[in-house]
Amino acid sequence: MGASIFEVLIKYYPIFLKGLVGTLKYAAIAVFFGTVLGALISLLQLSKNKIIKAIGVIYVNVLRGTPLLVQMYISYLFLPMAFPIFNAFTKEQCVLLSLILNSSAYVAEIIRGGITSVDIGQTEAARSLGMSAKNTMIKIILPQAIRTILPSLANEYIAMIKETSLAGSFMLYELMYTRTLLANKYLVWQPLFIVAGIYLIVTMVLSALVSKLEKRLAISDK
Amino acid sequence: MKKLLVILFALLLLVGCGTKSDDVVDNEPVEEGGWVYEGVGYDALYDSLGKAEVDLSNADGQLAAILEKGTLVIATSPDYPPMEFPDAETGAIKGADILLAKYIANTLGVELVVEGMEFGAVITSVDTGKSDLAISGFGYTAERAESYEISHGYQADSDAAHHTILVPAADADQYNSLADFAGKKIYAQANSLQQMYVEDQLLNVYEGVEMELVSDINEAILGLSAGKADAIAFDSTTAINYANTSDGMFVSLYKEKGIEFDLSMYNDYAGNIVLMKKGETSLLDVVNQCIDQIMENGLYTEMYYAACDASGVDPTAED
Repeated sequence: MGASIFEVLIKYYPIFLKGLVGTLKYAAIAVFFGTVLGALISLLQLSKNKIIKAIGVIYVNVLRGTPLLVQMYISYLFLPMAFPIFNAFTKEQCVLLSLILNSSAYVAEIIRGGITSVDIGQTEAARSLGMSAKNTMIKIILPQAIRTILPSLANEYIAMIKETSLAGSFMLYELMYTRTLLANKYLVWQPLFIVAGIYLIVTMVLSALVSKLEKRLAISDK
Repeated sequence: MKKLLVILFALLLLVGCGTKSDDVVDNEPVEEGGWVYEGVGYDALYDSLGKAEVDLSNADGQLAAILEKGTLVIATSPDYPPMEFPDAETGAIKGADILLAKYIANTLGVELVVEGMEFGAVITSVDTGKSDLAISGFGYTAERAESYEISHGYQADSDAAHHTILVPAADADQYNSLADFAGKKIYAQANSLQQMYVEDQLLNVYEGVEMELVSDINEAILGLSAGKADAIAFDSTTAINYANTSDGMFVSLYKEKGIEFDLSMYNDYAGNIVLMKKGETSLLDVVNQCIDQIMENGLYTEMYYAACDASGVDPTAED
């Protein structure tokens, strides 16, 4: 029924292009701010103070243990009720906020995992040579942790590209939203396949880049 | 990398093969019946909308809050042309309801902010105070009247309120009245009027009727195309437009057989309504004055036709 996938793609490619730009933009913003926030949260998780540590652990568990779509609805509809300051946020900002918070929980786990994966013997050696705890972290632990952290962060970006499709429920201009746009021209099934194809191509290309990055980072192991 | 290219190429071939297209079909709705729009056009009308004369000196509650913040925020679900739909090029939400909202915003002397979201979230957004008004092609129901302040009804002259059922053309012969839907599975949009009609007039009346709710009406179209259900409940304008653009795959039972839901049991039904939080009577008063004025001077009909033109919907198609 109706036009073929190719006809739709050719006729409406600017719409899909704009949707793709939106998707990449939202994913980039979410992962960038998510990384900044996630780094702080991972510090909480690694803290020796039990209360601070608990806050970090609870934060990560709540955000990773509830669906992102639910988080979006809560951040858009209910946060403003609880904290009037969020009334100043637009719909786009509310949805982005939930993407950032969600991403930060995953990034916190990535960073925490990266740091704890560095053998404890490294710390012991550095400290016994008289390095301060801060110096040990910056000069010994982090440079090694970054090798496991970077590829995982890139994978988080790829995952986030798919997660942003939920923002289509709030009519933000990203790939999934093109479906709503074209449905009003009575094109209901073609956009689904086009969108799936675009997601697949983008994630495959990015995955290939990530494995290149992994190989590059592994060179020093040899 | 080479492998990747091979896979991509295979994928393209797959898509190419999967969609044999006999001839180029233009998906723009066909303008049957020779309806020609004669107005100034949607954008021009939007920019030149006037305002109603209302007394705002006694504003209180949310109305006062709107005047103070300088914006009127409306929630809408843009999957219902010509009432509300996104402009495919810009993504901006347009429609007859948006023109009405703009008129209300003009009257209040504030800026209009249109927030698009799923239909189910529209009312919640008014509940939580995130939006001031819900304007999304809502019709009257007793439940809505109980929980919200609801405005006077508005509808275009030609916009006869018929609600019907869309079925695959191949099955159309089976249906001669609503009773023939016994044992059938029907889609309706969650929280819509059609959901109420299906419940009241099919689900609770005939044996074995099954209703499946969708949040987005396009899911229902996909489901019907895939044979996952037998029919979709629609208002007749939307039904006829889907029928016209489906290359004869679907037909509107109102057009083919005159089958429609009986609306006489909902006495208060008169077009669409605007919803707002319970108790906001001074806001309600202003909205009602706006609606009364544009219904009286015919501006609403002009809005409706401009929105039809902008969305490619033929308002005369159901005849």
